[in-house]
Amino acid sequence: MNIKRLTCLTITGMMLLSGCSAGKTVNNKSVIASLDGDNVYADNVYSSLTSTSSGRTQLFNYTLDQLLKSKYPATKAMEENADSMVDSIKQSYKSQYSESEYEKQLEKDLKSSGYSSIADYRKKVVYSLQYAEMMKNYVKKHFNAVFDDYYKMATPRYISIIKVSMASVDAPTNTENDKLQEVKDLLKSGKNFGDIAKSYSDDSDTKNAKGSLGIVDTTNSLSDTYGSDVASTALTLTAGQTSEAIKGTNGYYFLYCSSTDKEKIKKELKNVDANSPLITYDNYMVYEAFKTYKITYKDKATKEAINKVINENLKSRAEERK
Amino acid sequence: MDENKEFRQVHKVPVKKTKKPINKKAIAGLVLAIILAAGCIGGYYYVKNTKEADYVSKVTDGSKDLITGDATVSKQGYYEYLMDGSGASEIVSQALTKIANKELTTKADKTSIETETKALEDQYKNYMGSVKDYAKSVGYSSEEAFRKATLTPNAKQNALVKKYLTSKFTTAINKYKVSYVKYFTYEKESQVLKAIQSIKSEDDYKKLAEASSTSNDVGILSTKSSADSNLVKKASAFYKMKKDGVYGSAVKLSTGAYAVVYVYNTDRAAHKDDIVSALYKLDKVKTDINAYYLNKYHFTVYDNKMKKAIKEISKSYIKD
Repeated sequence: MNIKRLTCLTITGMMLLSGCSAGKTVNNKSVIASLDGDNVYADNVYSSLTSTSSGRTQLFNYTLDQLLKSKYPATKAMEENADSMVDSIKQSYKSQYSESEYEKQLEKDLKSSGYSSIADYRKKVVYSLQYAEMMKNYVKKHFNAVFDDYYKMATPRYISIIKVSMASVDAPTNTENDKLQEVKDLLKSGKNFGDIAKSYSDDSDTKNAKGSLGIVDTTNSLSDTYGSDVASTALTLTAGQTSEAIKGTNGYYFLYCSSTDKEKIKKELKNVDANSPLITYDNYMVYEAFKTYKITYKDKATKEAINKVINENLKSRAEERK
Repeated sequence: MDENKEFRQVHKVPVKKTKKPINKKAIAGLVLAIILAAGCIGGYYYVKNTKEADYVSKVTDGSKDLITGDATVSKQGYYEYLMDGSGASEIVSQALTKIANKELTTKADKTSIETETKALEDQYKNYMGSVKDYAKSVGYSSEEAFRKATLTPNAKQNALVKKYLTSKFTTAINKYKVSYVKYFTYEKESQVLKAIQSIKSEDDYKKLAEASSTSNDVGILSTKSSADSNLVKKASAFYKMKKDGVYGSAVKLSTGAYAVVYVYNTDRAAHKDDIVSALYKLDKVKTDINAYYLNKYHFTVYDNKMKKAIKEISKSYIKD
């Protein structure tokens, strides 16, 4: 084989390869799809998708993704954390379903929750940890301002709880009714709420801590465990106030607000970790955080698109605070 | 990176092991193999490890950066992110609009597009007060831009579906087994059979239905309706009835009750407009009609990732 033929073969190979990776093109424009005598071009699809507010939001989201990748890349700890969560979910399903059924059931439940697979779920867990890292960094750097806003918007307070369990809340037994009445009478007598909780509460999670739930704010998830009335009542109590008996999940509850002291709460939340309410209470904080990064726009349209998304969201944030 | 290492090992070892002298032919073959294999592996690695490589389609100037600094955003990266979200539906929409432009060419078609445009305008006005305000709310720079990008294409696609249902009415009612049905129920099958035997006219049916207090006029029923699933399963049997009358068997509904079913308006052509409107409202019917047109025009998707996403909308949209 001569050099000419070798070159020819090489070029053929390159052309084959280029055809493979570039897809169909017409007049140097990439064709995604075609109909008889007509083409759908990548450029037209791009142009259509970028022309809406949804397209702009997608641009912001994608830029945020890239920012997380570069500034807060997934660490080994995050990956392990995600693996551990995945394992825990799998174990939980394995314990509930047979070996042959658990995977199908898990897949079904994941899909109904918006995850295409367990791998997708894991990926999103890692992403959320990266996101938390970014927000944590922002909160640490702007702690005083963020805390002041959190205190105003999320209305944190220290709450304690007493539970009187009932097999059927709507039809309590005499023993259950007697216990409920006894707790009411003790509270009326002025006995310390924490002491009553320690002796009488049926809530195993808080009993030994004298009923303490710690700081409860608007991000609380008390309704999952105790019922929505318990969750909403917690946010209405002032310092020193005890609630009436509240009908909730599997029993009646009493709540006590020991303090709403700003400095005390601030001190406790000073150490900002991934579980801090300061990084989750404000859905708009990400736009403030984003503004603190060095973002260089290469064209006017991109800059306007991103700024529009940020400004619209910060406007909504400001309105929420009026 | 492991893939590249593996690739190098795979291709290095046989060359070393060969006892034959390497001639020009062998070199040529090797060069070609390396180019092809490197491309494939490079492509595979690219697909596996970067978002940009998932798509074969490329936006013009895709390598251009839109944003740099703490985050780098390329035009191609943004394109692919958009494609992940709504690329499949946008491609189908653009294809259907192109088909509508080819199919809707008569004066009557133009009138139909105008009617559909007006219907959409009314919807937008109901949402936001005016088309302009609606356009603004979804982020378009002007009403004109919104009309061009969304309103007019949607109107054309809707007119295309209606044209199919109108021009292929007989095919459509046969395919979807369209009938008008109403029913009332009894707890026991024997009660239904007794009622069926006693019903000789629509008036007989009405009397029993009124007495039962369980009467339900379903109206237009087809194989794609969202009525009781057991009733839908009988759509084909009801469709076979060419004269108005009571259906000859009891139909056990999914509730467990037994139904006396009366099929009416069996002169379906006389109710063409209503039937077309009813079928038009069914998403499954629209999907079928869209598939018909996409197949008719040999809709071909060159980007495998998009092909998969479009098949998730409907497997029937693309014929392999």
